[in-house]
Amino acid sequence: MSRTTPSLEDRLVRYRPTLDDAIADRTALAPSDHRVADLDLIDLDWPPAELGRSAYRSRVLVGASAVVLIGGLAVVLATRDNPPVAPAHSAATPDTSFVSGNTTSAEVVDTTPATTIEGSGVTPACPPETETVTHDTIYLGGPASAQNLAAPGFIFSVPIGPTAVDIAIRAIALPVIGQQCSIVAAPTSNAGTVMVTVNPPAVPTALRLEMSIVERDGIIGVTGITGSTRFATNRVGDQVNLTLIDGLPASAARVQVRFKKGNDVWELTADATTGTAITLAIPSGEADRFPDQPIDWALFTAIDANDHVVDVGGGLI
Amino acid sequence: MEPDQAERAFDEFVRADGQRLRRVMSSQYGVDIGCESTDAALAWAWEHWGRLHAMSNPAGYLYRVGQTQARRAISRGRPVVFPSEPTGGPDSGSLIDGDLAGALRLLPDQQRLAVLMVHVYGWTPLEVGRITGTPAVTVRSHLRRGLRHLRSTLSKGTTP
Repeated sequence: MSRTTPSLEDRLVRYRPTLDDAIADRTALAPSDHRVADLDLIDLDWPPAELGRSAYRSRVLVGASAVVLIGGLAVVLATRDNPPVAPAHSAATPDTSFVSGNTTSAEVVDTTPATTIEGSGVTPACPPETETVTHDTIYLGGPASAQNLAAPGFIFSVPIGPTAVDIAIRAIALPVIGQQCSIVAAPTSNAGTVMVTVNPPAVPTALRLEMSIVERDGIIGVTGITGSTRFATNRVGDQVNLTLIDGLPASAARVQVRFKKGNDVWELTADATTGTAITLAIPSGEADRFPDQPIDWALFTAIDANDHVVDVGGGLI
Repeated sequence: MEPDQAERAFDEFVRADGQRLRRVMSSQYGVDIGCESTDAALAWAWEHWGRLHAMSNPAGYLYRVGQTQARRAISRGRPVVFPSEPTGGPDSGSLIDGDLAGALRLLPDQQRLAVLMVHVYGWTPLEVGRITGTPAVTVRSHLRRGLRHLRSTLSKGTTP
């Protein structure tokens, strides 16, 4: 039997199911009752934190992915401090072993920075040895898609790279899905695809975030998150200021700022009128356990009167 | 428009035009970038539905939105990706010469769009032009050149 070579037009016609399958793979969402496998589970919990300092402890990652994640802003955020009180809807067990008592109101100083470093929010430029892996967009609203964290049964497909790690990095977006949500990611039978479940389902809002992800020495991390609010940071001596250049979104009632110094993560809160120029200072009455170390990163979250996040931004300083 | 009506109208739009847009974007920019750009465009549509709904050619407008996103991705060095053809048995007629996916990657994106939408999805050049805002005669020209380019690449076996 002789071999036949179809015409180019025939090949193109036969190519349709292949192309459609690839598009469907990139698009499909899991049914809402899809069970998440227990193996290699990454459980990322982002409950609200009390004001003040908390211990830097990892409770986030299970499995080998944790090793890979030790480094970069994503890790810092993913392995964030544990609050003394678990959120009402969190799937995580409250950590009763940790009682901080550190509820002193954070000091927010409304100052005008002496020198402002302009930036789109993607801060700062990567050192030469880093390689940008991706600069991607995530959504919290709109139609179901592989990038919409608000979609039930959200599936995240990663064509290349370590999927579990990557999705853990994506979980940096957790503030925007609601601080009373937990997020669970698990591999699926398709290599390169991770099923992510947000519990409870995120409240869709018109919010999109640009994320810069880099790889350095085999470690993948996030260097910047940009929402709609332009911001800048400037460092004067030991002091770092965060400026929200155009102010907060109109619907924002307050802004929360987290920053990391040494191994401590601190949180400040300001109302919408004073929160456009914030000194990243350790709250009065608290001790700086790492006086010789600079502030590594800052992340701000603009929150409306209904406790919904309306914007997020931040990055390495 | 009441919120419920707007939501229904949007859902209907996504069902009717979302898949079409996804195929167009994936044909032009590869599956990964195409699907991501479509997601971005549809998310934009959701945010601006009131404005988009009133347009005469919302799918065409969204194509432009998605195109901006796709070009940004390509300028960052994201690869254009197409799935490989499945291969069949020797007498199935599907044994083929040359790497079609690789040859598609080498085509200019407008030619790739024309070739795939017309020959894979059976659109007419007029339909392709309607969504991309291109005259049908231009789409035909892209199609001719695209097929010629594809044949040449496949016969030389110069795909990466």
